[in-house]
Amino acid sequence: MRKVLKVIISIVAIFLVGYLVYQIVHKLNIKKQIAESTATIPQFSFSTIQHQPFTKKNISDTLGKVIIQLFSPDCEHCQFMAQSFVKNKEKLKGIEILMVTPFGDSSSVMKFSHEYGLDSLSNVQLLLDTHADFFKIFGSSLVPSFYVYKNNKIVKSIKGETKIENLLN
Amino acid sequence: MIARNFYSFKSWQLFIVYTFLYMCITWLTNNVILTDSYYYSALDNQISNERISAFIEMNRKFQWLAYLIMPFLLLLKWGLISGVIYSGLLLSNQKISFKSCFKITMLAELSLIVAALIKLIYFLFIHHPETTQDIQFFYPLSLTQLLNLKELPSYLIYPLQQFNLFEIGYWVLIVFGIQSYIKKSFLQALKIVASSYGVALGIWVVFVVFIQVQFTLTIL
Repeated sequence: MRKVLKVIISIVAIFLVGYLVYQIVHKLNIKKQIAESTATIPQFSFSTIQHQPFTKKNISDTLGKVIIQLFSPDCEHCQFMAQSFVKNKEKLKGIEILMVTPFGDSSSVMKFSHEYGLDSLSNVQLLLDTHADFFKIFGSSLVPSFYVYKNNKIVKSIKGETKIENLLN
Repeated sequence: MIARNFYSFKSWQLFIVYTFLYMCITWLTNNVILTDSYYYSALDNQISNERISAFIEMNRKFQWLAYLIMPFLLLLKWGLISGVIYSGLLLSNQKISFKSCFKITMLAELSLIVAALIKLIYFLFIHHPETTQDIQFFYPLSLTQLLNLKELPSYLIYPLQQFNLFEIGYWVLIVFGIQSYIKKSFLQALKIVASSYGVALGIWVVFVVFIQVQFTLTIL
C-alpha cells in the first residue's frame, strides 16, 4: 500500500512540475513573440467612443512620437495619469496619445474624459477595446501601462503610474 | 538521548521567541531601513514626490496588519512543512508524531532567522539600500552573490536565492531532528528529507516562477 502511495505521489509531483514548467516555457515564448511584434507599432483594431473604427492607419504620424496606454476609468492611478496629461499638455504637444480601455463602455469613458479634462486635449484619443485584444497584442493587462514609440520603433514600455518625464525621454 | 533533549522545549515558548524576533526585524526594517528618504530615493525616477508621500502614508496606515498576521503565517508555514515531513516519514514506515515533526521544523527555523538577522545587519550597518533592487537582489551567502543579477531575467532571482548556506543549515537541522527521534543514519534521514521537503520546496519554487512569469509585463 505504501509503495503504491509513493508511486502515485511521485507521478502527481512529476505531472505538476511538468505542467508548471510547460506553462512557464510557453508564456516566455509568447512574451518573446509579443516583444518582436510590438517592436514597431503593431496592427490593431479598436473603436472610438463614437463607435468609429480606429486602426494603425488612423494614427496621424507613425514616425512621430506615439504613446499607447492601457487604462481603466475606475483605476486611481489612471485617473492621476489623466490629470498629469492635462497638467503637462504643453510638454505633450506633438505627441499622439492613444488611451485604450477594455473596461467600461463609451458613456463611462466619455464621463472619464470629461471629468479629467482629457476632452480638451486634441492629441489624446480615447479608444474602446471591445474584443479585449490589447492583452493579446501587447501582452499586458496591468493598468496603467504605456508603450512609447518614436519613428515607429518602440522606445520603452512602462508599467504602472509614472512621471510624465519618463514618457517624454 | 542527548540529541532528543534538544526537542524537550515547549513549542509555545519558542513560538513566542520567534514571533518576537521576527517582529523586531520587521519593525527595524520598516523604521530604520525603509525610511522616507529610502522611498524618495528608490521611487524618485518613477513617480512624483507628491505620489511618493501618498504611498508612504498609505504604507504606514496598513503596517500594523503585517504584525497582526505574522504569527499566523509562521504557524501556517511550520504546519505545512511539518505535514510534508510527517508524510515523508509515514511513507518511509517511520513512526514519529506530527507534534515531533512540528518541533523539528520550529527548531530548524533558527537557520532562517539567522539569515534574516544578517540581512538586517547588512542593510543597517554595511550598505544602506537606495533602490528596490538593492533589497530584492540581496540574500546573504547565496548563489546570487556570485552572479550579476542585472543580466539575468527577474524570474530566476528567487530560485537562485534558494541556493544558500542557510537553506543547507535548515536541511541539516531537519535531518538532525529526524535522527534524534528515529534510529537512522544521516544519509537515510537526508533521503527522507530530500524526498519529502526537498520535493515540496522544488514544486514551490517552480510555482513562484510560474506566477512571476504569468503576471509580469513583456520586458524590453
